[in-house]
Amino acid sequence: MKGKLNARDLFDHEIPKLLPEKPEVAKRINAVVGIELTGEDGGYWTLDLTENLVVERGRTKEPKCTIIAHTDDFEALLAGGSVRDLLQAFKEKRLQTSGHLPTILKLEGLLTSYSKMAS
Amino acid sequence: MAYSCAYFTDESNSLAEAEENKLLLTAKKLDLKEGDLLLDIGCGWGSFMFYAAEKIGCRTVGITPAKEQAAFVNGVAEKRGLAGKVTAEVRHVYDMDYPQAYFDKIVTIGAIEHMDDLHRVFAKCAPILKDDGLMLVHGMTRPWKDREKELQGITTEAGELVKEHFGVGYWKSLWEVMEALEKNDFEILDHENITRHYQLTTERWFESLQDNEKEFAGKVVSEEKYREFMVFMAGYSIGFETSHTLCSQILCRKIQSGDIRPALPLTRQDMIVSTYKE
Repeated sequence: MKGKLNARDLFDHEIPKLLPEKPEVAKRINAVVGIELTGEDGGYWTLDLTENLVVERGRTKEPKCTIIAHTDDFEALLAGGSVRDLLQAFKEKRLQTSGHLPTILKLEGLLTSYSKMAS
Repeated sequence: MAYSCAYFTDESNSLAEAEENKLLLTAKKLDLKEGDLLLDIGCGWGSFMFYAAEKIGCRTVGITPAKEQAAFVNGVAEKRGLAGKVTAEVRHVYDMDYPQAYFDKIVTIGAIEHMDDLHRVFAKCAPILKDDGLMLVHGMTRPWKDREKELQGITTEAGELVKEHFGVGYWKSLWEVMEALEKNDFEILDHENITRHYQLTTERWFESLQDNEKEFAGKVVSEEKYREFMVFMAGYSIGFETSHTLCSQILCRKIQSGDIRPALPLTRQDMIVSTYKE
C-alpha cells in the first residue's frame, strides 16, 4: 500500500504482513480487538493481538474492545496521525468505541505506527 | 473525596478500601500521634487532614491555592465539630510563612506535580518542620529519558494534551525530587514505588466514570467533556501501565551532619498495611 491510506488494504494486507515483522508493538496490547468500519470499503476485522497475532475478516473472536467509525473518518484520522484530532473525533462520536477504552488507546499507537510503515 | 493514588493490599480491593489503605499507610509512615501538628501541602478536599484529625487526634493545617477547596474543608470541619483541629488556608506553597520548627509532620500528596520549583518548596519546608519531625512526599514522576527530552524542548502531542487537561503539569524524574530534598536538608528514609497502585486507581476511576455515565454525561458535564474525561482517565491508566508515568512515596526527615540519629524502626514492618487491618 503506497499513497493514500486505505483501511481495507491496511487490515487485509499490510498489518498481517507487518505483525510478524514487528510483533513487539502488537504484543504490548495483548488483547483481541474489533474494527468496525461503515460506508464504502467498510467491514469488520478481528485483530488477535495476544499470542497469535492474526487479523481476520469478520467477528471471529470475542473482542475486548471495538472501534466503530466511518471508513472515510477512520482513514483521515490515521493518515493525519494527530492525537488531538483523534480525541476530537471521539468527543464528537465520529469515532465510537465499545468495550475497554484503555486498550483502544494502546491500539492507536499500533495503528499509527503500522500505517506509517505501510504508507 | 480523594483525587490521588490509592493503595491496594489486594487487587480485589474496592476503590473505597484502597483509599482508606492509602490514608492508613501514609499515617503509619509519618508515625502520626495524637496531638501532632500536621501540615498538608496541597490539601485538596482534606481527606488526609480529616483522617489524621478524626482517627488519630492530630491538629491539621492544610494549604491550597483553591478557595473552593479551603471553603469545603473548613465547612466540613465545622459540621463535624473539628473547627480548630482541621483548618484549610488559601495559600500558595511559596508563600508559607509559619514559625520555625512549627509542625511535627508535613505531608504533600499528589501536589508536587503542580509545583514548578521543588527546591523552593522544600527550602520552605525544612525550617518549619521540627528537628525530629517527618515529611512525606507523595507524587508522580516520569522516567528520566522522557523528562530529559522535555527539558530539551522535545514534546509530543499527547504530552501537550495531558498538560492542557491537567492544568499545570511538572512531572519531574524521581532523582530530581530526591535531589531537591537532599539539597534542602532532608534525608530520605524510605522510598516506595506505588506506580502499580496508581494504575489500579485510575482503572477504578475509569470504571466508575463508565458505570455512572447516565448520571454525568449531559447532566453534570456536557457529553463531550464526559467523553474527554473518559479518554484522559483511560490514558492515565495506560501511562502508568506503560511506564510513562510513575508514582512514589518518599519519607524523609531533616538531617545535619553530626546530629545523633533518631531511633527509627529497624525494619519497614511498621509501615506495612495488611489486608486484615488491625
